[in-house]
Amino acid sequence: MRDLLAVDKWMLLALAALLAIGMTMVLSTSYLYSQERYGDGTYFFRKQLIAMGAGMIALIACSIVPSTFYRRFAYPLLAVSFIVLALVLIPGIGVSRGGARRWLMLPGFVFQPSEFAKLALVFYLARSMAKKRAV
Amino acid sequence: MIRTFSIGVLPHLIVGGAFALMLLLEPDFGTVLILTMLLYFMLFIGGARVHHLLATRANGFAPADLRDDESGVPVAPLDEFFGSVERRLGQRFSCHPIFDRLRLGADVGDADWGRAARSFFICPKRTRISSIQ
Repeated sequence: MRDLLAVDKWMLLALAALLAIGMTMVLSTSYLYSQERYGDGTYFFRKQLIAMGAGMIALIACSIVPSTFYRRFAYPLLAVSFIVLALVLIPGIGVSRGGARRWLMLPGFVFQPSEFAKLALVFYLARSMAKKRAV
Repeated sequence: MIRTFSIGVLPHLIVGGAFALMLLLEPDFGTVLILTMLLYFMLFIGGARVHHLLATRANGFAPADLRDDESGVPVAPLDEFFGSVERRLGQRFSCHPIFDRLRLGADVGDADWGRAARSFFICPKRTRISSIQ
């Protein structure tokens, strides 16, 4: 339990500050628009709040997962990410909008593989650089 | 600390470059920029030598510079940022002059591509700014 609570306090502080600024900006910029359109000034703010809550749950879940898990899956994740990026380029599989083919249509939602690629690249770089530390 | 170019830096650049290529085909230039910055910052934090990174960015931005006009994405400010670092250090870093000529849009018809390719894997050379101006 002590290990779970041993978080980087400065990182957490930076995260909290970014979230607070982001939420303030969302409320400030969307209040009048959502009041006119939906009759509720906090419509977008509440949506953002729900997304933030989901993000926080994901953050806690990811911090509980042991680092060996990320180490083990860094390369497979990179391979999967590359394959999915290639799938996007195939006509009929990748969804084209506004002249760009960036999305995959999955049941219930649209998936953008480039977001997944960012995560995969970070895992790969961390894993690979830790392995090549002395070269 | 990453010390060597061929083992410590180049494999990561190749993987990052492959991803960037796939994203350019979509095209998603914004994500390419984010991935590039991510790659360079992580290499820097990982201890890669600054002159290795500066040399490879000169080559990496060559295709991006060529795309600049048609895509309307401002690559020039990023290039200018790295250029200002080089000017402050008083040195310019490059794997081979051919990559610089490519970046500047100069004629490369007479270039020795084989030697340029080999030098890319050995990388990089330093040139004093004063000697190239």
